[in-house]
Amino acid sequence: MYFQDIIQNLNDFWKKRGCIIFVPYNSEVGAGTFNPATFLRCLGKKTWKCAYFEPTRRPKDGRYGENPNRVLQYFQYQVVLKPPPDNIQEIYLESLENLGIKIQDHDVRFVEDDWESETLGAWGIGWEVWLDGLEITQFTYFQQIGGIDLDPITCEITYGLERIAMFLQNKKSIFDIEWNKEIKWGDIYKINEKEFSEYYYHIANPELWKNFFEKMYEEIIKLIEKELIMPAYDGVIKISHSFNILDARGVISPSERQIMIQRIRKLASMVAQKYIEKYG
Amino acid sequence: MADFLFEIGTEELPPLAIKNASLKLKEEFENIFKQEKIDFEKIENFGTPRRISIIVKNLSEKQKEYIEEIKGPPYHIAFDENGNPKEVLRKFLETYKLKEEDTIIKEEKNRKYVYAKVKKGGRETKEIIKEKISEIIKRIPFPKKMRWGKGILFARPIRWILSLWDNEILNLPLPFPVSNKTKGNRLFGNKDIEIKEVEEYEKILKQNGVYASWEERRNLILSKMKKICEEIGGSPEIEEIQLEELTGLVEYPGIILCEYPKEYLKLPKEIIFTAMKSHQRYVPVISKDKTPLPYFVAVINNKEEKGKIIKKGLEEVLIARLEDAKFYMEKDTEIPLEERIESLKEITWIKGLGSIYDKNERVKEISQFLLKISNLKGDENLLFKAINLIRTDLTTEMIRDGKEFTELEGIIASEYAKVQGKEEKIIKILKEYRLPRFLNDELPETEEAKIISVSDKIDTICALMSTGYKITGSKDPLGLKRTLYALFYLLIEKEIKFNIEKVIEFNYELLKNKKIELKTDKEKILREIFKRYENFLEEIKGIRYDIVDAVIEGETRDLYLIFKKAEVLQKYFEKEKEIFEKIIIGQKRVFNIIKSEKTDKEVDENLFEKEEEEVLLKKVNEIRPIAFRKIEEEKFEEAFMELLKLREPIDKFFDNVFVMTDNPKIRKNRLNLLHLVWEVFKKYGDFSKVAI
Repeated sequence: MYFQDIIQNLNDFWKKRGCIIFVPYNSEVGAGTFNPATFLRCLGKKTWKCAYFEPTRRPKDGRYGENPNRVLQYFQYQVVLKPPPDNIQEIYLESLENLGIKIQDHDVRFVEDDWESETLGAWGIGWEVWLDGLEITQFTYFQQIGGIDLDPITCEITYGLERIAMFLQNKKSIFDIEWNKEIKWGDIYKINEKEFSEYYYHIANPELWKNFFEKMYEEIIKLIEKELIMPAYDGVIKISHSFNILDARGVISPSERQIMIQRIRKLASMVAQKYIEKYG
Repeated sequence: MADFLFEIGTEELPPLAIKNASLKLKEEFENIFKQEKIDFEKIENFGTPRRISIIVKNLSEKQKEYIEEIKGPPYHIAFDENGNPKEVLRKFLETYKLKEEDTIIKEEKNRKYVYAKVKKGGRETKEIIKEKISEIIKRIPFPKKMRWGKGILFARPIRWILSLWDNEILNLPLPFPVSNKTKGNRLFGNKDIEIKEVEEYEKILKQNGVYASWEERRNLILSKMKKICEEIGGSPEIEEIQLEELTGLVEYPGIILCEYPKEYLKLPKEIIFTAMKSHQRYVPVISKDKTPLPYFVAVINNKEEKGKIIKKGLEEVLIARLEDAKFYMEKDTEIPLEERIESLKEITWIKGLGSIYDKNERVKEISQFLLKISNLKGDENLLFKAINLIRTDLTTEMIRDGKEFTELEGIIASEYAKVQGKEEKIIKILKEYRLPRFLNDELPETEEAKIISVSDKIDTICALMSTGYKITGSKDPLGLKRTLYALFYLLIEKEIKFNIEKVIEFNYELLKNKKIELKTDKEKILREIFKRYENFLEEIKGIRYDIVDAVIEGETRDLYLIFKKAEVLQKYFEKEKEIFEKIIIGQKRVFNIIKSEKTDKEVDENLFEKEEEEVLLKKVNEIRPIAFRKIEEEKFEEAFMELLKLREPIDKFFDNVFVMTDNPKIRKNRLNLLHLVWEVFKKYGDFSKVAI
C-alpha cells in the first residue's frame, strides 16, 4: 500500500465511524496534539470526533537524512474521540486489519506508556502499540490538558505513518517508503532533512529566536488579556517551535531549558482556562 | 456451598501492577468474608494483562448467625427508682426493634449498663457481595489510576465483569456489563467466551490463548526460555524484575529465539544489552563464559507457530537500535575524551551548584585529601588522569540523545576509553568509579576507583545538604538517601577508614571557595550524616540506634570504625543481655553523678575509706592502658572484654560506697575516681546513651 493510500485508507475508515476528516495546522507543531482540533477541542463538555494527518517538526531529531529511522519532520495520523466508545481498542485494531495487517499472524500488543507533555501541562494514561516489537501507535486517554481535569475524557490515537508504511512495504529506511508508484518519501524530503538539520544545528540565529521567544511571550500574555484565544493559542504553537529550535541549536543551559518549558506551560494553561470559560 | 468466580475484564494493565492487584482482590474478598462471618474453603487468584480474577471454593450461601451485645444507656438512666423503664430505654429498644426481654444488665467499673442482645447474620452471601463489590473494586491499589467516564477510578478502563455463582450469573450493581462471558486472547480471535461452570474457567481460557495463572505463566516463560537457549548452548540473561514484567505483558507464554548479525558483537556488551532490554524487553542470550551470543529471546503473546513472521519484525527493530548505537559510537569516538573536558564547564551539575567541571575539580581535591588521611592507597597521577575523564560521556551523542542509551552514563566513557586505546587501569577506573550506585550494588575493585567513588559521593552529599536540600518522607528527587546508603555500604564492605568530620570540613571549604551559596553550616551537615548513618545501621545492619549513638558519642569520627565498635556491642547485647545491661546501669550511675560536679581528676589514694575504692582504682589503672591499646589497634571485641572486667568493681563500689558524702574532700576524691572510670569507657563510647 502506498503512503498516500495509507492516509486515504485511514480517512475512509474513520469517516465511516463518524469522524470529521480534518486538516493539519498551518504552522510548525511538535505533535498532532498541538493542533487546536485536539488541544482545545478536548476541553469542555462538547463531544468531538475527528481524524487528520499532521506533519510534525522536531528539530532535535534531525540527522541530515543519514539515519534510516530518524527524521526531523514526519507524519502522524491523529484520531480524537470525545468521549471514546467502550470498544475503542477493538475499533483501532480493526483499522489495522483494514490496512492489511492480519493481527492474528503477528504480535500486536498494548504496552504501558503514559504520555506526558510538559510544555502543554498535559498527561494521559495509555500505551504504545507494538507490532512485532515495532512501536506503531501511541494510544492515550487524556486526563489533563493545560492543567485542567478533563470531563468527558478524550481518547487520542496517534499512528506513526512512516512506521506503518515501512512495515507494510517491507522497507528498512524511511526514505525508501513509496509515496506512490513513482515517488519515494526520500525524493521529496531528503533535501529537507539535510538542509533543515544544517539550519537547526548550526545556522539558526540564537539571538533572533531568543528575541522571538521573549517578544512572543509578551504578545501571548496580551492576547490572553484581550481574550483573543485562537491567536493566543497560535502564539503558543509558535513559541514552542522557537523553543525547539533553540534547544536543537544547543544554546540553552539545562536550567534555562526548564524555565522556558515552565513558561510555555503557563501560557498553554492560561489559554486552556480561558477557552473553557469562553467556549467550553 | 457454592463456587464463585469473579473476573474484572480490563484493557491492558500495567505489567508490574497485575500480580499485586490480583493478590489484593483476593485479600479484599477474604477480609469481607471474615468480617461478615461467611465460611469458605479457599480463594485462588489469577492475573493477566486483561483481567484480574478470583475463584472462591466452597463458599457458604449465608452468613453465620450470631448474637451481638450492644451497649445501651446506664441502668439508672434507663430505669426509675422502682425499676420501671424510662423513655430513654424505650427509644433504645425501638432503634434495634427489640423488647425489654431482649436486654441484659451488665456491670462495668461499678456501674450498671443495659445491653441489647441483637441477632445478627444469616444474610445471603450473594446480597453481601452485591453490597460490597463496588468498594472492593475501588480498594484495589495501583500506582496510578485513571478516569474514563464511568465514575470509577482504576489503572485502565474496566470493560466487562464475569460473575458466576456455580453455573448461574450473579448480577452485580456495577456500571459495566455483568455476565458469564469473558474474552480470550486478542490474537486468538478476541472472542466472547461463555463460562458455564466455575471449574471450567482456566481450561476454557487456555483453549483461547490465555494462561490465567500468574505463577504458571511465569514458570512456563522461564522454563521454555531456558530450554530454547540450551539448544544453542547458551542461557538467558534475565533478572526477576524483567521476568515479572514479561509475565505481565502477555496472556499466552509464547517464546521465540531470534538472531542478529555477529558484526554487532563488536559493540560493548552493555550497549547491546541495553538496546535489547530497556525498550524492547528482549532477553539477551549468553554463553557459558558469560559472553553475549548473537541471539536473543522474545516473549510473544501469540503461538510459537506464528513465530516465523514475528521473528523477522523483532530482529529488524533491534538491528535499527543497534545501528543507532553504532552510528553514535563511531561519531563519538572520533573525538578524544580529553577534548571533551572543556565542554563539561557548560553542563550544569545541579542548579546553584556549578558545572560538572567544577564538581570533577572538587572530586580531585577531595581524592587527594583522602590519599593523605585515609587507608586508601592509589597512584596520584593515575587518579588525576581518571578524574579528568569522568563524566566526559555526558557530552557524547550516545548519552545526549536522551533515548535508551542515556542509562549507560559512566559505562560509555569507559568503553570509549577502550576504543581510544587508553591504558587498562584508566578504563577500569572509569567503569568502576560510580560504584556502588545504591545499596547492595556492585563494588569497585581498584583503589583509585574506590577513592573517586568515596570523594564523589561525599561531595554530592555535602553539596546537596549545604543548599538546604532535605529528604522528606518518600520525597527525594535527587536521590540523596540512595547516595548516602551507597557510601555507607562502600565504606563498610571495603573497610575504608578516615575521619569523616575532617573530610566534610575540607569539602565544605571547597564549596565555599567556589562561591556557592551555602545555606547550612558544616556541623549541621555532619549531624545529618550521623543521623542517616544511625538509621542505616539500624535498618540494614540491625544495630540498635542507641548503641550507634553511644559509639558516635565516643571519640571515633570514622564511620567504618563506628560500625565495628557498634557491631561488638550489638553482639553482646544479644548474647549476654544481663551482663550488658549491668554495665549500662553502672555507666548511667557514673554519668549521673559526675555530671553534677566538676572534678580536678587526680585521685588521692590516702583519702580512700573503703576497700572497694582501692579495688576499683587498681582495676582501672590496670585495664586502662590495655583497653586503650586494643582500641588503637581496632580490636574492639578485646577492648570491650577488658571493659567488662570493670563491671564487678563498679557494682561493688556503688553497693558499698556513698559518693555524695558530707566531707567535701572525700566526695571530690570519689568523684575523681568515677571520672577516671568514665574516661576509660568513653574511649569506646558513651554507654549512658544506651536505653534499657
